[in-house]
Amino acid sequence: MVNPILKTCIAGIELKHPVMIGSGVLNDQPQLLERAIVEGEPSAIVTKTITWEAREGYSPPIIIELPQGGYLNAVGLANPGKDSIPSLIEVGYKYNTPVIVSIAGSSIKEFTDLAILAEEHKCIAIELNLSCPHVKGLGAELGRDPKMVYTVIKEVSSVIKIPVLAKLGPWDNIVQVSNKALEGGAKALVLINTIRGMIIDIYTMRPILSNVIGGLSGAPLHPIAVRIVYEVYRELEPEIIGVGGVIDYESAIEFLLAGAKAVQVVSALIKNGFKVIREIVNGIEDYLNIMNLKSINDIIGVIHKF
Amino acid sequence: MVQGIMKSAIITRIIKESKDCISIYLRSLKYRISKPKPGQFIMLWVPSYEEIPMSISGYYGDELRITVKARGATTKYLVNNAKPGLFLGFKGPLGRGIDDVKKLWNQKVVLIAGGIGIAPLAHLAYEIHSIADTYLIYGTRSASELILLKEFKNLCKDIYISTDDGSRGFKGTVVELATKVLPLIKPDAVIVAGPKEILKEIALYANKIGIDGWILGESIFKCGIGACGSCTIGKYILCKDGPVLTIKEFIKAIEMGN
Repeated sequence: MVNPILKTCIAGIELKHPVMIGSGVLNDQPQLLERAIVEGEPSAIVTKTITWEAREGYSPPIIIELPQGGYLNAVGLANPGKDSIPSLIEVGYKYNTPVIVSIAGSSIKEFTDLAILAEEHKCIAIELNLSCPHVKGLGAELGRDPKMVYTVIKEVSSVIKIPVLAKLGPWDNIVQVSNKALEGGAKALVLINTIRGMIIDIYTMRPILSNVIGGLSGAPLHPIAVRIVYEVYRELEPEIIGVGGVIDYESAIEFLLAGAKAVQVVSALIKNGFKVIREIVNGIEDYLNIMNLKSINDIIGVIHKF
Repeated sequence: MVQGIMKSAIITRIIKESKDCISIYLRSLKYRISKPKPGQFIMLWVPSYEEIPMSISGYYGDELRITVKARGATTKYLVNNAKPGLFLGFKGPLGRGIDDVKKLWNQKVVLIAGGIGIAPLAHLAYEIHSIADTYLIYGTRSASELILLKEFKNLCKDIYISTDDGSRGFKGTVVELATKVLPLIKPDAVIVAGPKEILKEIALYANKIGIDGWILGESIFKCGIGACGSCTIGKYILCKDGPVLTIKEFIKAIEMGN
């Protein structure tokens, strides 16, 4: 049996397989990035979202596992700030694994300054977090406004040569926002970010998260994310990275069939560790064999042919 | 797998242990709590205050005991206001404990506690005292801060005490006492809990004289489920890879810095 081809390509970046580590969990410290690469062998890693200044984030409770599955988090974009960028990128070169820096800003200047800084340190691509659902002024309001999305991406794209990926939230106008992101110069879309949610403890009669509202991630998000990837691909056929509830090879393959060229895993790392990435890659390989397909390209967007 | 879910709980009993320290007995209202491995912890949520890591000092089937010393805003609130009937929440038991206590069968084990580090060692002592020769070396600043001693007297072959002010036992630190006592006991293993500095000094000393064992690590735990990275020491995510680390793992982690 010939090994099927798992290679894929996003925004001109060659990936050895379609399973990346997405932004959000444990990826703002070099030694953890190293561990993620060694234990998980992802095809690329997106860092935790970095802001210009370091952010402490909210006070605990910040992350809760949900009885229904998945997680609710309001970490508050905690991150070590711009000074961490060089050491994070360096890990990628050391292990020959692309490190994509995720950034967020409270102004267009912060976005462009961060993007320039990352490019100066030979970053391979930038992911713009245009959809963090629980931090005021840093995401949600911006991300649902097609004009703002266009402006931020246009400005960032005009100051750097490396590709810009746009991570967008699950808004009702997602097709319109996606269209504007592409017009602005995004080379690929990362769909989707978490959805705003809330959990209440009935005995203390209080919301559990200190920020009251958080972002829902993990398995419950998956059908929504698949639907959005499907709709955006159907209307615009852009390059898409699917994210939201990838917990096994089946949930990854659904994204590929709906039109994504790669997927990102985040929440599943919490319970299953970085090794879950390798398990998903092996599962995709077995699936292609069972289906008698030669390449990952044979399944990307296939759902739209029927 | 429900460890990371916030479980509604009610306080059933409070025991005052010292001037600024209480034990709280907690009952989970919905979920059955699996038996914690020694060293595992919970994330205790006190509404209007924070969610904080807490060692487990006892397990009684449907109840957990935690022993709280007033230090930050949340623990001060608890020590002054906790009473039976108060609702709280917790995640857990969390993290890696000592996996297989049976391995300690017939061994000589010395527990070393600095300050409130005594709390998790109480649950551990209940788990191992019937299979291992258990000793305790325990230090606090002053005699009035010594707690849970009655229980340890029933669980240990011998207890060695230090106080910084000499109000009871050896006058000096628990580290100084340990370096005097360990060569005499010649244990097969030590298990250490307490402030970071004590963990570090005892770990380095035990390693030097060729004694194996574990430390119960201390760090800032914000999520408790290995997601936020605030507790990282070296490459270890302490709330998930620990809090129990072997002495060798711990030394490797502190050599890596941070």
